[in-house]
Amino acid sequence: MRSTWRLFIIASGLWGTQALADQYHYHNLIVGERAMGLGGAFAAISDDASGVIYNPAGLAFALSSDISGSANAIYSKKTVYKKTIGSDDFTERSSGTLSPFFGGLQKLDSTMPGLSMAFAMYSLDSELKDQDDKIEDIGGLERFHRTTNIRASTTGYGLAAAKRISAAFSVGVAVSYLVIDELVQEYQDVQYKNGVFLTQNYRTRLTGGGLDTALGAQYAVGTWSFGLTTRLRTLMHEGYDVGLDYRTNLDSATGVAGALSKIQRDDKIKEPLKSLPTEIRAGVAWYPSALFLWSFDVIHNTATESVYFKREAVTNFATGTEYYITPSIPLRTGIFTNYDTRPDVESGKQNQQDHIDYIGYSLFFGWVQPNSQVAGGLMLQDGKGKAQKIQGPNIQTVEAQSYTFALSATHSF
Amino acid sequence: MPMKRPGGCLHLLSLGLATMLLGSCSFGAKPNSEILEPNKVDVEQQKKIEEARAEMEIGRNMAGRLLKFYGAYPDEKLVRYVNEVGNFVAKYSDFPDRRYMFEVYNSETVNAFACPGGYILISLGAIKNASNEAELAHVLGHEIAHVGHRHMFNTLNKMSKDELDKQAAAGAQASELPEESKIRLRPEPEESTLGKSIAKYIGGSAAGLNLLQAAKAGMSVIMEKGLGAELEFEADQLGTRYAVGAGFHPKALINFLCRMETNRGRPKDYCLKETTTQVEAKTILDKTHPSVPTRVANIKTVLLAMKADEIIGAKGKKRFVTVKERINKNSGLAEKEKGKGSSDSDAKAKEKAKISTETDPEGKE
Repeated sequence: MRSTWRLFIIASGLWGTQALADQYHYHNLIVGERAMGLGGAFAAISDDASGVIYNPAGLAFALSSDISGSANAIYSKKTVYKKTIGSDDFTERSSGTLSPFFGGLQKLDSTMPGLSMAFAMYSLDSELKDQDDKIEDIGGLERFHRTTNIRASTTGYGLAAAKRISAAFSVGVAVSYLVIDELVQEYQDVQYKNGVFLTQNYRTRLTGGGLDTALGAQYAVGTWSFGLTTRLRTLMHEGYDVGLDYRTNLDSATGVAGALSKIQRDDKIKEPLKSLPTEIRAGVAWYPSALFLWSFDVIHNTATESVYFKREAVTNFATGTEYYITPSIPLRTGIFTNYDTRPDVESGKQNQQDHIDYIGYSLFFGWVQPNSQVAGGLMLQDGKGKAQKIQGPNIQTVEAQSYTFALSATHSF
Repeated sequence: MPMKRPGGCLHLLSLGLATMLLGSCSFGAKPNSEILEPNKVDVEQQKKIEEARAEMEIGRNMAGRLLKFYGAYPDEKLVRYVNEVGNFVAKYSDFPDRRYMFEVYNSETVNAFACPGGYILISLGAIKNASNEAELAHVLGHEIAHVGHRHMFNTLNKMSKDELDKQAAAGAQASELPEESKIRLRPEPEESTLGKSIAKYIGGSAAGLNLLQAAKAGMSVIMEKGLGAELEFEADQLGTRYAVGAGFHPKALINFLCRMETNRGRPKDYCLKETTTQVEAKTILDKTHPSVPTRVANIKTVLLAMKADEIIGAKGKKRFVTVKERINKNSGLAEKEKGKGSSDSDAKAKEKAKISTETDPEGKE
């Protein structure tokens, strides 16, 4: 390890406190048994319970009633901040093993022809991070210790209904209750050999609840299907608790130990998010044969204005294919973008948030049996961007990868 | 010798195992180990048990699909009545110990389905077409003959795998999916040995047939292909024997079939003509059964053989009239709910009843 960057940390006072959880990417998790494999390009298909998320109108085209669940068996994310500490990289890791989707679809043709209903519980974002960095006995530094713990999730609980207006056209509506819960705790302790110390304990808790109302339509013509969904999200309540305990005996004028100074804050911010983005999703799917399908979605999220969580408008894309290698083994592949909604990091500015754009790839194999199927596969997200990890004007290049190994099962009845 | 008391975990394990075993034992007609020790179980008997279970599963699946498609007619009293008549006739069949379950499905077309394992569905239209209990008994007797002699199950069992797959695919299409939805159909999955083993463990399936494929193929047979003229003639003859044995009027099935044709606009003497002229198949019944004149001619031979003219059978009109009134009343209520007004539907019901009486070749009781 090089002493230069360690001294730099100390000279900088403290590590930049930007360990916020991810409210800025909308495709961190792709959910739904088939949708996962298709990279989330599902608006023109959505004929299973995940239609609650992608396009409720597709439920009316379901061939059977079913119940399905999927889980991220292994989720791992690595973010590398290049040359952050001198010429050394700084790496953050996070992981999760949470259940991102559970849902069921019931066709109700006997009640009303062309009517279907569905429920779903889904995770739009879910992350656990435990970061621990420790440096000891270098130059005048006795110890630098920093830990970060993040638990973040955005979960939806939704109900949807869809009706086929004609053989080729359907409409659907889905109402979900969204629960946002993010807890961040960050502790830093710097001890100098000359008795100077700095300690900081920073914690935030973001909570929110809102209604997500999706209106969708799907139209089929020949071997093509088209889907359109609008999601209007309304916050019903939100809160942001920010706590800071900061203590130091550093005399900034002399650079040696002086009188103890401390800052203690506990702010309760009422409208940290202010609003949630409105999403417009348009998709097309092509079914040239029973063995193959191709789908493509464009997803636009509007900007949201907030002091704490400002998000720019973003347009993502997803495309996927499904091919039956044998009548029992479908192979699904997908490519999707997961662009950052934070502003680009610009030179000449300080305390800027990270900006990391991801491209994701999915590869899933299924095993279909009469009335049931299981699927398993891998999703990889590869990100590149810029950041200011340490307080000051320096900008770092960021490379990030996340891997998700997911399993799903569906039973039709 | 004193026994050690097992620990808590072992307790839980044994409880779990006991629950699993209890679950598997309670599923269907597995041999009772107390009666038949495993090493003494007759292989043939075991095969029969497995076949019976397969028959039940296929029939249950088919009946479920049919009821899902048509919907069950929501009148418990009517269903109970049909079960009474059906099970009464079944007592006089070749298999009086078999269990039959009768259900009325919501369709105005005249038809009935015999699913393996004893699941018999009769349409509301068929009950409406009947003018007395004897006719209903004969129709149910026909279906009881199909089930008892395992016409459908044997047909499916004789099919090769390719044929089964073909019929299963046809069965899927027969479920009348709109063209716009058919593009979403994926390949019919192959049931693997492992998948079958899992299904067997979970569902207790024990037959050599791929049960789901068989059920789908059965749907094609029941909705499109039919069992073939020979088996239909056999069911007509046997059904007539059962119903007559139960004390019902011998010519009731002929009356029922002839009325059905007359109501479709065919001449009164159409069904009595011994013609082999092919007519356009407009209904599922047309597609899956021989023509009514040939069926009537066939029934006449059995009536002749049993000297039906000398038999005084009951028509059971009194109770049936009450049933019909109940159906008409329900139909009237349903029409009212639809906002079409009761006067029209009552008039239609009366008109239909009038037609029924007029076209009854037997006339009045």
